[in-house]
Amino acid sequence: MNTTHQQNPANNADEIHRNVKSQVRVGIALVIFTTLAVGLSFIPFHSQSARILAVVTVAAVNALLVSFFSMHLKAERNIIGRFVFFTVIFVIGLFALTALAYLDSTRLH
Amino acid sequence: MDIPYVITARPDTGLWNAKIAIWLFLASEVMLFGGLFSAYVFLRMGADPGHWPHGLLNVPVGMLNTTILIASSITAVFAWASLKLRQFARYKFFMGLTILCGITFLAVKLGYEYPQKFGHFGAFIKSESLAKYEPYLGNSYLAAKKLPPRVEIMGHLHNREALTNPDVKEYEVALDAANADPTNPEFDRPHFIQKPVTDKVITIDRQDVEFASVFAPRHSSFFAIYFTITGLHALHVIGGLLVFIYFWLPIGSNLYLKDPEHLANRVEVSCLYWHFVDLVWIFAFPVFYLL
Repeated sequence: MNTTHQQNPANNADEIHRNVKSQVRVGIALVIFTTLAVGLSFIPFHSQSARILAVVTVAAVNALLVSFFSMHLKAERNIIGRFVFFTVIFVIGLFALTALAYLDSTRLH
Repeated sequence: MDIPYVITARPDTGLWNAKIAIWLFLASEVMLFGGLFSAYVFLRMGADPGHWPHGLLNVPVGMLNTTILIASSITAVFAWASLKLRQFARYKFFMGLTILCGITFLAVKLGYEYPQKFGHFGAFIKSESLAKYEPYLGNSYLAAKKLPPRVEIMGHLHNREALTNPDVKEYEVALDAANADPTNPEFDRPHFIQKPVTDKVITIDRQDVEFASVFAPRHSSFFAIYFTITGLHALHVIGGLLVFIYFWLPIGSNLYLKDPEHLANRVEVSCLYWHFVDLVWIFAFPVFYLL
């Protein structure tokens, strides 16, 4: 086994190189956004809620970068998009249940 | 018997088997971690004032681990691309780097961060005894500045037998900087680089303590959910590493001789899983270390 295996690559080499470059760009963006989130968490905000919103927004941008570019969701087939769509709906439902439970408990106090 | 559609796409879905399977698996994983993060939100929203700690985790170390995991995602893609381009030696190199990054992540998490927490101590003071420990809590100062109260004294426990022996009536604690000098405005907010434990030692009467333990899952809701999510994440890292090691060693990588595209596809779905592990950490890092 060596570096010059004789079978032809199944995909276009240019496409693969583009893919690798895109991954590197996403990686750099993730490090920059993570640093930004750390910075936001240490600068003074008028409220803790504003700080949470800012940091979670940056984390969500990072998550979108990973899912759309690193995991190729952007270019993936419709069937995968449908899986993800319904999963996201269920996760939103989970968080909604948490919010409802919290509102309910505050009403009891 | 040859299994169909391991390389070519099925005509009905347009995807090869493993691709569709990994996405279904990842959907279930999203639900698993979604449930846990939802529990985190619930616990945090329901925490009493002063009971959700800030600045207990080491942010620079967390940042380092985040960067290591992001780097491992990139090297994993390099490994996959090398296979697609039929550069086997390059594949071995980048897959080796990915494995090394994963092991480093685990070493930092399980070998440094967790033991640090297990060696740190916190005692929640009963509400009726808070005034007695005011010099170490600074609640009047915090109230004047409209900051959440401190209800816990933290530091390094000198007499560890107090944790297991109820006959020991006092905890001897070398105080954390914030408890040693609680009215110092420097401690109004967490620090990027944590201050070391001071040499100021106090004794806390057991009868004044509501609950005391090292920073283990039973210590508080914060550490319970922290260890649950980061521990489960670490298990996922271990799982991914085992798969990568299998594809790196001859037992898995010899498939290259028979069918390099099949190996490339296997590595591709492993990379999808690894990116997901990365994604979970991208959420876990800010919610535990920064907020």
